Amino acid sequence: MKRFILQILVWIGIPICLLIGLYVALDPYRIVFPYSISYFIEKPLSKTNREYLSIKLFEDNLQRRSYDSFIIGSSRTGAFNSYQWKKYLEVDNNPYIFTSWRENIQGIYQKIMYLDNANVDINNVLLLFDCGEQYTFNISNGEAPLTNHYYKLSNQTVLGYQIDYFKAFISKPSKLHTYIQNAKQKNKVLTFDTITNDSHLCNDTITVCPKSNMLINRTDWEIRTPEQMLPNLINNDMEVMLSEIYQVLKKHNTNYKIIICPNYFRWKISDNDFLILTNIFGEQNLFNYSGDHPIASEKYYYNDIEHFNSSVAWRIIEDIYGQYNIQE
Amino acid sequence: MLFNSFEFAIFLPIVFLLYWFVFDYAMRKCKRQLLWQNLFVVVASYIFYGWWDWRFLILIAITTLLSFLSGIGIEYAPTQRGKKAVMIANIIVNLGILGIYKYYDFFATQFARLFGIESDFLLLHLILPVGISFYTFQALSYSIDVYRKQIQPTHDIVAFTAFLSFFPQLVAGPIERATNLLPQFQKKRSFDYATAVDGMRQILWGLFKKIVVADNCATYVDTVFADISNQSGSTLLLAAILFTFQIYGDFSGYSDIAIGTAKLFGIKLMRNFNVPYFSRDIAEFWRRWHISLTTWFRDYVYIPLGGSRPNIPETIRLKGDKALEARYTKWIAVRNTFVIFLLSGFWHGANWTFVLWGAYHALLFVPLLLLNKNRRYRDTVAIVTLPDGTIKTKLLPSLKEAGQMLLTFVLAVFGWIIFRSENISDIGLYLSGICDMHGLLMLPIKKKLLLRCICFIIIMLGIEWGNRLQEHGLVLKGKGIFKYKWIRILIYYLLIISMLEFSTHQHSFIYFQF
Repeated sequence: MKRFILQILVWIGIPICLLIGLYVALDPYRIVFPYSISYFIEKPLSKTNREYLSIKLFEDNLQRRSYDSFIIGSSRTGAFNSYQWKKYLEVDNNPYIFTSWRENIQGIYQKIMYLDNANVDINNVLLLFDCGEQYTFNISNGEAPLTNHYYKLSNQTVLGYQIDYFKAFISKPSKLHTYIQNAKQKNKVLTFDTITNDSHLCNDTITVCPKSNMLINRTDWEIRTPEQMLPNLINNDMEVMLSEIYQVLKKHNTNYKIIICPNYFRWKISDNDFLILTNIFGEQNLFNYSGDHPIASEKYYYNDIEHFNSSVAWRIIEDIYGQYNIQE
Repeated sequence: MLFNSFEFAIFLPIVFLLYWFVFDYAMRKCKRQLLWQNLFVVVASYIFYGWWDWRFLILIAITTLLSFLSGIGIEYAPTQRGKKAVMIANIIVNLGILGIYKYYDFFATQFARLFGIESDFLLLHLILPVGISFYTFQALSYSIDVYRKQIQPTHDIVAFTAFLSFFPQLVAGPIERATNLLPQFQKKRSFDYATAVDGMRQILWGLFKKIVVADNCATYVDTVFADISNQSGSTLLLAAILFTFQIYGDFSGYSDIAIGTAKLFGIKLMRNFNVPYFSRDIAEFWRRWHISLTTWFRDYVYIPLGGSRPNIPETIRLKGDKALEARYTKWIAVRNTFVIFLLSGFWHGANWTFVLWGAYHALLFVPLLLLNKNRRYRDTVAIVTLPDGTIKTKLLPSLKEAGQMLLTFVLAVFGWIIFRSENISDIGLYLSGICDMHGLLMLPIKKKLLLRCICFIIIMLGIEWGNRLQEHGLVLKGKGIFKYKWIRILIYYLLIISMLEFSTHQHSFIYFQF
């Protein structure tokens, strides 16, 4: 037995310890050690959990900034500009953008509850719902750990949170090179506004990633399928979350708008899901740009197959607040 | 809890250490050490199962209690008739539970269709408890064996519960026999270094087959089967071949992990797979595929029905016509073959596709049976027996053997199309898609993934071919370059790295649903 345990320790235990050591030394996701926001600004990384940064920046600034207006959604929030949005808000409103990679309804729900529990005034809210089977109305953890929810929001333990990241670290040995590059700050991809958390990620205002990655600079456009209706994606659990979100918004007397984002593949939200959203949030607060919508009908409105550009976001804002007429 | 999950990676070492250090070594002077150790096995197994859904532990507990009591009932029943009644009652109740959870909705739907009525109000929509078919069959085998006096009924409910719920084989087999497993829980187990190390190797091999081969093939197969009508013939054909390896990697991988894990606890489980795709005919295939289920049906259904040597009825025997007797014997054997294949198909799930799959294999098997060729290949392919009696494997099979293996494989592939399809019309759609000559010449989709899967399959088959006489693929010691320990260690690490690198989103095991 002793021999067996010893063999296990030598051949399995030692490699695991080495991996843990390497992980701690590289800290590839910057979550093992505490880092200040200025660190992330000076040394932008591609492998950072965007939600983690959003929460960290928010907590750092909250005392000074008194945020009370929020855009909450996935990386598609990157097209929205909080300074432009502010034009339609009260003068003393302070907007902030909560961005998370592949944000889903659970994440949106957690953020609303987080704001409510922190006694933050929620005066204005734009909730961005993405269309597609792998997006807002899908609670599976698609691309862990970058899509993992921050433990302070999800009630996960710190240990569980750290383990999830470690598992992601060891799950792709071939990416070790990338992690080492990250450790040396070679991959500069992400920058963001330190007050409003506006993302500067491959969008058409500030481009830090190679332009060749953007569809607009590519000849091999992905084929755009004709409009297709999605299956019903909102299940009972999600409906409960949506209702609770509504209750919080109602409690705060929030001026809220729900945006069902346009998408490159022209997926359209199902009638049933749309009806659920209408019943909960009211028709006047729901703005559906899914499917083959003229606001983002051309492929040139997309930076890549996942993200529409800021001109679309700007027209959406104008449409919502009544100054833009969509030409049919 | 899945074998390929992080939770299990934590659970297994904890259970292992407690099992040997606390419930074996530290309690070695305790008179009831075995009882406590078995009790610990039960607790660990219930935690393992309850991790998925604790509510269904009640079902396992009911099955355990009923089967335990049936053993005692059979023992104390004063007459043979009474013993039989107890056994039959236990079979009915256990199959009743299985029937309600697994088959009720299916039959209700068929009934409603037959009479043209709305089926919704008839349906129960029950969740199928994981592994219910496996532990139910294991429980049935106990009471039948007790009735047949092949095993003494046990009065030790803890040992019996451990036998029925032993976590490595609880949810997807091998379907153990009480004659093999129960006695192991009734005597003290001792730790054996060589067995434990072999168990670790078998776990590693099982994980490789599951994570690298099966899960990668699953990614391709799922895409194709989700949209059959829009796929080219070449894509459909390749997806069918990939599913053939997916289901093998998935299920035999599970079995290897289960058997290897049991070895760590000093328990020997029966073999469930024996390189089935190296079979030379379909009869050999069925001696090598899901052995625990095949032999279960053989022992508890086929033979009681008369098998291939039924009792000749008086009316025929008295005629003294040997040819008539032979015809009668063949007819009964054919009937029994169909019965067990159809039951075996239906055991997999409440869907006509499984029944059709069973019928398809019965049709392939019957000609061999009628020509008395179903027991032709009882050895392993491409081996030579040396004058001293030792058996050695050849590097390559003969052309004839290769052709036979290929034909058997092709027949199996078509069977898996039936098995994997959601419904009967999908089978037609799939087969007509494959038969489209124009589509067969088109390039398949997801070529990179396909190439990767083919590479993994070649590695798996290569290793299993080299080890086809061994219990699993990683029995490397003492062979050629593998006599060097560092080479073996290198291979183990390469397998681990490949598992990390090529793991897809965690997939459940296919056979959990059965």
